[in-house]
Formats: sequence, structure tokens, C-alpha cells
Amino acid sequence: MRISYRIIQNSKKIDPLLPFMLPQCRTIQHANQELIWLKNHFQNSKSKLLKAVLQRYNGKPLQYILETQPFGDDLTIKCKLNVLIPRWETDDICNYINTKILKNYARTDKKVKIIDLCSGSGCVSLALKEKNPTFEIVGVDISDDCIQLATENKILNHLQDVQYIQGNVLRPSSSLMNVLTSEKDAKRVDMIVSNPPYVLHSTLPQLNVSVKKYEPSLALFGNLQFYENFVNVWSNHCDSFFYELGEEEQYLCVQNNLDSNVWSVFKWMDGNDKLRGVYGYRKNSNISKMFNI
Amino acid sequence: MFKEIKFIFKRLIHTNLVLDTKVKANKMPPRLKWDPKLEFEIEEKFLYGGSGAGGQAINRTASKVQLKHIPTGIVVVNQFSRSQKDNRKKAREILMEKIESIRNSDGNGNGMGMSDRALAVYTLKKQRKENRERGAAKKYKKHDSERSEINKKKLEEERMMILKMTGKN
Repeated sequence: MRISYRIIQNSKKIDPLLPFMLPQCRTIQHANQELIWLKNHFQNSKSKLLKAVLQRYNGKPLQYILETQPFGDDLTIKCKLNVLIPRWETDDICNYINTKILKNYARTDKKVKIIDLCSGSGCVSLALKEKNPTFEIVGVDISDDCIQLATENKILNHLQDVQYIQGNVLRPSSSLMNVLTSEKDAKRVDMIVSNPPYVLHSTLPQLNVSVKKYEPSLALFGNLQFYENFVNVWSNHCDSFFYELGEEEQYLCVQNNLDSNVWSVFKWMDGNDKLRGVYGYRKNSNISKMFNI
Repeated sequence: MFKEIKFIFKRLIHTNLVLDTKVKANKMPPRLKWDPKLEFEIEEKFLYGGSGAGGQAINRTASKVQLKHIPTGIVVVNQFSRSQKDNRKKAREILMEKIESIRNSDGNGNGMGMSDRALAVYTLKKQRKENRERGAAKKYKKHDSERSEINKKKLEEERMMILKMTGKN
């Protein structure tokens, strides 16, 4: 939709740079907010600020310009091209897992292992590690850039013992499987957390320029393959799971295909009351008691 | 009768309360602290606005926090920072200030409709402004006296010159 001429004129009076922020922000208030953040970041050089404003005008995501995104309780996640920017829904999911499920589980003295599939920038694994320093957490991703950035983020936030492995989640090699599930009696990890690509390819025309043009399509587009893959492969190796999703269809795929005698599966709604996740547990496992509280 | 009218006028003109107490910058009342008991009286909401798919399909840069204090009905919205944690903290500070201002109005507390801290900051600013003005007045007084002396000298010189030329005063 076009921005009305009056809004452009009004914004010009406040700051001559403000009209350039409008195409992405839409409202003067939001544009002003973003301009303040940019000004604070590029305090010293005006030429860099102008360049940044022009980049924003062309649709580059703010997080790629500022290179960071706050996440979790006290984390700063670095953002680079070719790696998906962490979303607030994911932040909420991490908060939910930490406060509702893992809070009491941390007290048990046995060693807890969590796998983060499609780790991306490492935001989920780091947010879990931040609250539960004793847990063993492993992240898996297919992209080399993601593994590199996730390790950088780990060092930036002064966290240790988070391991990132490069590997294909859809077709895991036997060596990867051995690394992930060793040191366990039943060869099962306590939890699998994942934020797989779930945006439907048919919605591509409606997407915003900043997502369409700048963010990696590998981390965005997918439908059922990751959920089918979970049912067929990964569900045999875990006691509980939490997957982010976007469509009803994806939830049904998990719920219908898992054995209802062994598994309990639930929906998770986000702050805007939209279906955003699916979680579940094995009924006879240790971690199942944590879900009932 | 006349005296009474004068008295009323005087009262009307001085509507601003005169603050007798002086505030020192190193002896300020403490900042307001968020009372953990109030956590049960508020409703916290995170506004992300807008319809549409959400999730990975939309990249939002701002996170808005809305606090509602149920007993008084005060609503506070804050989105000054990109980090939700900072926003929540700041919103709580603003809400605390508003609650405190209600406690201090209508003859209760300090009666100024402000928390002690905010009142101290306000008076400190006022004091500094007054001091600055006083200083400026002093400075100009000095300048003016110097200037008038110079003018006097000039006049004296002119008078003397005229006296020399004409022999008359």
C-alpha cells in the first residue's frame, strides 16, 4: 500500500531522514523509534548513518544493519546475512520451555541432554543454556555459516559447553546419530527442540521485501518434510519434543502419525493467539511429570 | 474592604506553591523501586500488532509492553528499546511513578502530585535556573556600572573640550 503524502510531509518536519524509514515502518512513531536506534548505533560518523538509512529504505532488515538482536533474558545474538534473524515467537517458546518445563527438571541429578535441530544463529540453544548451565546441549544445522555464527554467539555471550555440529537433519548420517545419542542407556535424549523452516512456498508473493530479499530461503520455506522426518526418525531418539510451526496441517501431521498410546501431543499458542508450536512427551518417561505441573 | 480585596488578589496571583526546602544534588531522595507485591495487581501484555502470518514470515523490530494497573486503571505502554527485558523494566518504572503521584496528590504525602524523587528533580532544576538568572543579573549589573562610568568620563571630557574652545561652560 502507498504511504499517504501527508504522512511523508509531516515526517519531513520532524527529521529530514525520517521519510526514508517510512516504507518499512509504515507509521511515524515506529519510524522515529528505528531512526533513534540507528542514530545511537552510528553516533560517530554521519556518512555511515546515511548509508544505513538508505539500506533500510531498500528493505534491509534492521538487525542486519545493527548486526545484533536482543534475545532471551540477557543475550545478544549476532545477525549476519545467510542466517535467519531470531523472531519474538521463538523467544516466547524458549521462555515457556525454561519456566514451565525445565525449571523443576534441572533439580534431578542425572545428566540432561537436549538437541537443537536447525539451530541457525544458535539462539534457542543459548537461551536454554543461559537458564540451565548444567545441561548438555547440542545444535545441528546444515549450513556452514550458521555453525560459524552460532559458535561466535556462544563466545560473545560467555557460555560454554554448547556444541554445534554440521549435518543434514532430514537425512542424518550414522556418525552424526552416534554423536547425538551416545552415553545414554536407552539411546534417547531428554528433549529435542527445533525451529525448522515452515513458511509455505505459496505465500512468497505476500512476504515483505526485507524477508523475501535478504533472509535465506533455506531457513524459511518448507512444509511437512521436517515434521514427517521427526515422526519417522527423531521421535525414536527422544523423550519429549518442542517444534515451532505455522500451519494447522503441520500440527496434524505430527499428532496423527505419532502412536497415541506412547505419546501425548499438545498445541502451543503464541501471544497473538495463533497456533505456533507443537510439543509432547512419552507417557512413561521421566520428563513427562514436568509437563503436568 | 479595600484591604480584603487586595488580600484576595495576592492569594490569586500566588497560585504556585512556594517550595521552601532547598534540594542538594548529592542528597536526593532514592529512586523509585518496583514493589514486587504490585506484580499481582497488574496485567502485562506484549503487543506485536498487525495481522498476517507472523512467525518466520514477518520480521518485527520493535517489541511493545503494555502494563495495566487493575485497582486504579492506569495503562502504560512502552517500546523505547529493542530488548523486551529493558522495555518491561522501563514500563514498570513509569507505572510506579504514576501510582506514586496519585498517592501524593489531594493533600496526601507531599501534596504536589509527584513522587518525592520527581519533586526533588523538579525543584533542583528550578533552583539551578534561578541561580543562573541571578548570576546573569549580577554580571550585567557589573557591566552596566562599568559602562556608565565610561560614559560619565566621556561626557566630562567633552565638557572640558567645549570649555577650552569657547571659554564658556
